[in-house]
Amino acid sequence: MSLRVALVDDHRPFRERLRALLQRDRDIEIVAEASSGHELLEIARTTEMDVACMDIRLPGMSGIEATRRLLAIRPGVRVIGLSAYAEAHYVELMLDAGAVGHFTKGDVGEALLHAIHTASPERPCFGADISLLVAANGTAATVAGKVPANAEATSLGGRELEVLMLIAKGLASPQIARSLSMDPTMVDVYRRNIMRKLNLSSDAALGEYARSWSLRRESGEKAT
Amino acid sequence: MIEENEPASERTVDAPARETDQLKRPETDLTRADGPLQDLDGTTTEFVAHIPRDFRTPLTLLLGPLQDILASPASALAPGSRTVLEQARRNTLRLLNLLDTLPDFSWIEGGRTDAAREPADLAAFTAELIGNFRSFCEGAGLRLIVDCPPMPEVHVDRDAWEKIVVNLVANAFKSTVEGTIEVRLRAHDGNAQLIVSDTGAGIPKSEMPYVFDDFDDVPRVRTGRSDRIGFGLPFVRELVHLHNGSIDVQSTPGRGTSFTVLLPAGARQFSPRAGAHGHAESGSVSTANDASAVAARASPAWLERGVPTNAHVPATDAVLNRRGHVVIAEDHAETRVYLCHVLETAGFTVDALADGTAALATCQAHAPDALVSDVLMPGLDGFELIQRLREDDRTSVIPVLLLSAHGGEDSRIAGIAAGADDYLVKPLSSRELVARVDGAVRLARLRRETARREQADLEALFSMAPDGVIVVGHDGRVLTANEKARQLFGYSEQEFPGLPVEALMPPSHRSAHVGHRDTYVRAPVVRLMNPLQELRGVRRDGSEFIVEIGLGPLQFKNQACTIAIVRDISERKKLEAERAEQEKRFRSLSSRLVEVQEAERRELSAELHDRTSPQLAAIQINLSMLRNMPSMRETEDVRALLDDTVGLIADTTVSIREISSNLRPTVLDDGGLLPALAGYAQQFTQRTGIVVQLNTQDATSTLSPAVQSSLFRIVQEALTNCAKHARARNVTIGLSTGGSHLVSLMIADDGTGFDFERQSTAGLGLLTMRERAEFLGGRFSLETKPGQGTRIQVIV
Repeated sequence: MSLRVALVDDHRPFRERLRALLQRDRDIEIVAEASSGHELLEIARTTEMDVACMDIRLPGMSGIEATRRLLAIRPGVRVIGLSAYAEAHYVELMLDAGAVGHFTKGDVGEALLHAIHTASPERPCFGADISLLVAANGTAATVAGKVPANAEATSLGGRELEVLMLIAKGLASPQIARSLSMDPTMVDVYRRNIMRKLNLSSDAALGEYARSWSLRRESGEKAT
Repeated sequence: MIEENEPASERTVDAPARETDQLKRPETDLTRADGPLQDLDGTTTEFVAHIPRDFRTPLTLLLGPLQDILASPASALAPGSRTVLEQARRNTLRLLNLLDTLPDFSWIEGGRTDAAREPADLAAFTAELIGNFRSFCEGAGLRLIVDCPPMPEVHVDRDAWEKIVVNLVANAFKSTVEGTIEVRLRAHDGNAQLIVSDTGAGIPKSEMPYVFDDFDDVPRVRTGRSDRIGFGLPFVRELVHLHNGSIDVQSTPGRGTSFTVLLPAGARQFSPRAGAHGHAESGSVSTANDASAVAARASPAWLERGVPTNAHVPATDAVLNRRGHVVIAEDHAETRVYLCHVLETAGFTVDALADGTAALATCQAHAPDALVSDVLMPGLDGFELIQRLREDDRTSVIPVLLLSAHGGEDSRIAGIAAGADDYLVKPLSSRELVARVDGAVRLARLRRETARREQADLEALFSMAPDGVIVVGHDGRVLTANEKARQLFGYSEQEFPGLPVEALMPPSHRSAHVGHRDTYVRAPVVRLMNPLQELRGVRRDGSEFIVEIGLGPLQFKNQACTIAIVRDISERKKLEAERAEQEKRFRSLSSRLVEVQEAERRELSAELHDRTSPQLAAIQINLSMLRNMPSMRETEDVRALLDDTVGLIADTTVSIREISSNLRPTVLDDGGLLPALAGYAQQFTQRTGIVVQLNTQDATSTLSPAVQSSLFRIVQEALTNCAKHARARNVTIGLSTGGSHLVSLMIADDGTGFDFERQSTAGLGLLTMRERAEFLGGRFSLETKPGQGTRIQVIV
């Protein structure tokens, strides 16, 4: 049985792209699309759903409020926040309203699909940006408690992993660019993306992480 | 003349004492009102001094020219004449010295203002008085009939009665060449009636109206033995009036004169101005006369006699520029002419007047450089003249040289004590007179010039003062006010004096001010008037203006006053208000600008969030899907390119999020300052590696959006400075609300710090932070030293 998913976003182009992306998963069925909280609640009265991807900034009613009301009608729905916001404040509010995960719109990929399938109040799922923010924010203790420390390389894409591997070998940016046939500026882009995803704030920290990650990976490979 | 006055020598016993009394009188008896009694004094003293002066004056007139001639160069004198002239001068001086030892007629000295009536046996007393004249009358071949039968006791002032009798008898004695003098005393209808008649020359009808007037007013047409007939009659008249009595005269030229005095016998009070009415019979004259009329006639009287004078020529500057302007008060015409001649010859401008009253008027009209005054004069005598001059501001500083026949030490002392600047004793050489007058004039001019300069300086200070200056007496009335005060309040120079000071303030303050004034007068100190309250002045037209008033005690014209310095501060208040208004507008404009800026940022931020980010996300999804399409599997280079593009978009998305957050984090509007700070700190750490410790446990989110927004910006600015300049590793942000302040924000780093005085690297950022704090009505402070980090505190 496929998952019945509702998409709530007032930005149509994004919503459509998201639908196209999700529909590639055969186990996912998009049962509803709404551009506001009210619209969703209207649909929810007659339509059953398992998952709702909820934007926060919506016309009229915020995604947070919509989540609360939706769960009042259909308590079993798993709501995953999907917004441009990464601030802990919003994540916390979404979790308080009953959401089981949160992703930024720039971070829709395998992790989001995984979350749609598995996220639950017990095991909430977060995008790479979200998770590290929550983990690092001392004030968001309640969130921190709910969020597994997953600042791991699993969130990195293929090119990012390639760059990380070369960093681990001690290569400088121009060498990395050459060996990956990449524009040197792209190396910097990837470095920044990696550092953000792994919550690393300096080149030194990145280098250190890369070396230890490389060691673990090698030992893991040996183990398997 | 000497023979004529010889009887005086028999009355020597109490003369010195009386003389002294008389000379002291002007000091001790200052309270008398003007009027007949004052006139009486002049007449009396004239009478008293008359006899010695009758000798002195001609002797002086003799001595003066003699000395003048003797002072001439030897060549001007005929050979041998100097010895003769010197002899004449010595003998004249001898006569004058003799005169000094000769007591005068002061036993009938006057000047009493009241008299003690006592019961007297008038008949016996009168007979005794007349007895003194008997030998003189016999010596003159006159018959003296005394008819004083016993009569009931009458209440009279014995002194006054003595003077009445003696004067009338002396007058008869002087007027009569041959025949009889008869004195009759009767009780008549309860009155005492005294009749003194003679068989003398009589008084011409034309002179009758002036019999009781000052003798100088009587045209000298009679051919008596004396040109001073009637000299005691004004005095007698006044004494009679003092007793509420009356005096009449009847006279037939060539046949004789008869004076009738009627005194009430009762013990009634004296009245200084009892209206004594004359009997309007033919040949009789009313004795009621007015002192001022006497005075008024004084000048014309001697003008008619051709005495040189310029009393009525207005003193001009040209006159004043000469050696000096001198007023002479001298009743004796020849002496006056002599004094006038000497002083004019010496180069002085002279006003010569025949009595004190006229001299006073002249001095008051234009203060001379000096006054030479006879002591004994009709009307005002010399002492009274000094007293009157000194009382008047216009004349108080005129130097007065008293001129007297009395050369004794007591007289000099009395004269100086009375306020004379010099005391000249007749006879006087013309050289001495000129020297003394010149000295007095020069001293006075010097004194006046100094005073004038000081006065001018003070006047200038007073009138040019840029603030209003008002002098207020303790009665609350304005004494004087300067030009500025007149401008401020709109009163003229004439209107200000006497104005109640309360008229210058709003009606609502007036009654309270009377009390304040009393309080102030009790403890006057220099201070501002009610500095805590806005004071208002009221102009003459009722309009008001805001004033600042300084008060101080002042001694002004010999009275304790209060000086008020008034400054119109309406303009200043207006400017202050305008400035405050401007500042308010500026603040409101600034905060409006901040608001507008924040609103714009909010909008931009939302735009980036709501449109750009989702669109980038959509592109990213597209690219991901494209990359995963089966057809892409064979084209490795396209996939790499797509990977790079997705990576770029991811980086761009984050950049946009940061830009948006810097513009204005939406969380600041949605969640308030605390989550916004947390988010920003997080992002900051992530970007810079600087660890931010955020202590907001003591803060509640009750702050207004504007305050939250400003505080957020301050933190943003401070953190930017930390990252750019401080090379800090740790930053601590403390935020607390409540307590004595609305909110307190502290941002401290462990960076390099800087020399606040020298370095302006962070200048603009600091300025912005300070301004933001001040817009909130808060205080911004910064502590830093090189190597010791920086600590910023904002307290609102």
